[in-house]
Amino acid sequence: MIERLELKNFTVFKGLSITFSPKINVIIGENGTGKTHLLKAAYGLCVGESLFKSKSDTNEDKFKTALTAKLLRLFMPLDDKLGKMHRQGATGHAYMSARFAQGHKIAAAFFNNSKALDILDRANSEQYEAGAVFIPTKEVLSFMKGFSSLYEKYGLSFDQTYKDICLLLDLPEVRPETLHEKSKWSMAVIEDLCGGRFVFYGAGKVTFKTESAEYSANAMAEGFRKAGMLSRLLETGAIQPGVSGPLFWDEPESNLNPKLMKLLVQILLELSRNGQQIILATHDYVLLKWFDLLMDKGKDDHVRFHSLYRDPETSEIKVASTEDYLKITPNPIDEAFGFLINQEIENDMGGLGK
Amino acid sequence: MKIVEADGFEFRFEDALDAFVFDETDSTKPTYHGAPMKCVDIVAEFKEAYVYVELKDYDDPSIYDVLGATNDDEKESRQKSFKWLKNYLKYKFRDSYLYRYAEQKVDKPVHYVCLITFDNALNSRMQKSLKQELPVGKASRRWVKALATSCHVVNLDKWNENFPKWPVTRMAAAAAGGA
Repeated sequence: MIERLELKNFTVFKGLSITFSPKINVIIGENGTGKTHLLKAAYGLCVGESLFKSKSDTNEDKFKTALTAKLLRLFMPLDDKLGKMHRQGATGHAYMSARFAQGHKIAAAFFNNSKALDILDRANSEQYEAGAVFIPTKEVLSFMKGFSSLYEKYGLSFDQTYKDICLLLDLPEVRPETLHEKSKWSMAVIEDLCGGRFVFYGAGKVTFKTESAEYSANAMAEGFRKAGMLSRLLETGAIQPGVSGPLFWDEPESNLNPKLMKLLVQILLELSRNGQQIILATHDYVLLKWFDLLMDKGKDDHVRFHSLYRDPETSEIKVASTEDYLKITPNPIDEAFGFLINQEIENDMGGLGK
Repeated sequence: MKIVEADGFEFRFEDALDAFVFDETDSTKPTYHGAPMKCVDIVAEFKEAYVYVELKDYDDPSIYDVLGATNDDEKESRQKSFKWLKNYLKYKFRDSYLYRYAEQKVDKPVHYVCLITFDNALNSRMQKSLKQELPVGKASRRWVKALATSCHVVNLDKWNENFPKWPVTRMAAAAAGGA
């Protein structure tokens, strides 16, 4: 579980600290305020065991090489240069650090001419075992066949979150008896709503099966494919409440119909009640409002809203966090409705009151 | 400048010809309402229009959010709350218009602005329903004039943003600011 993230002179951030809820975090903000960068930075630092798994040892050089490579593949900076992630015009070094539960910590820095990160701190990071999951904006079921090998071979314009998610989706299922009961419940309600389930044959081959027939995954609605991804991540144990690391989800709302939206929030709340930390970014009022309406303080639900905004005076990206939906300020999602109100008043009342 | 205090808010209508508490219960005042009819909180008159203002300061707007109801019972009770508020706002306008008709004070366009402490999204929903039912504009081919020329539902921030000549403050805040 990630408790805190600090970024300095990193991409659009001059200096930003964010303290995460152990349960649900909803990040909002206008385009260009760094929502996806924040998710990716946090995800990139949720490393440890996962980096070492493929390495023969845990020495400093290998750690820094692996973490540098991971960040480059996540952010895909211009010319693949680490220095391009250094905030433009900044004089100090770029710095990023994350603090996790049980005392794990990672801190790294670089300059605009650095080839690799300097690891400043990685206290207990080799013991950090909880794998994080990042669900990117686009669903992947429609193109995951052969995607991983293509990704390795060619310079595709997909960042590493797409490769990572394809790998997690292609993992074998965990034994049903070891599945968390809430994972089983979530999979069942998704299947019920979609009228069938996605079946994964390995190497990225996916179909959709109902009681009577089997279809190409591409024939299914995009919203179903998105819900199918969540279901599969639960089935493989990539998301395992109380065990797995944070779940990052960038714009879960894209292509979801309102019914799916409510179900999705119900599932995320249920998973969070059972120890799953969730960090998502959204532009959608309905999704935001569902969290506000469905959260149950009696069940110890905790939702923290983080609003990223550009300070009008300094132009710096800042964050305002609150647990109270009505106190989210600024709230560009609600403000979108406010602009409509303004326009109607102008159309109907002209210069009255102005 | 006409200053009107109503329901814990203070309005300063910079360019009003007249503005007063429409539901005045003090019989010694010339603006005493005194009729068995529903009434909006404030009526303000300007050179080119009348503006009716109704105020509702809510602590918990979620009870009005029908789209967000989690089950049928909740939806039903929220629909009732939403419908109740919509009807409340609707009939207040209609009775006030009728009263003003009897006063021969409907000679300019009438705009209805409800100041409700919801978020913009919920206010937009309320406005859409209220507009249909007031109704706004000429609702029938037989009408030669509209009852309401326009209807808007705004929160405090939106009010002040859209009507800079009619600033509104909460009385407690106004008192603190003046102290």
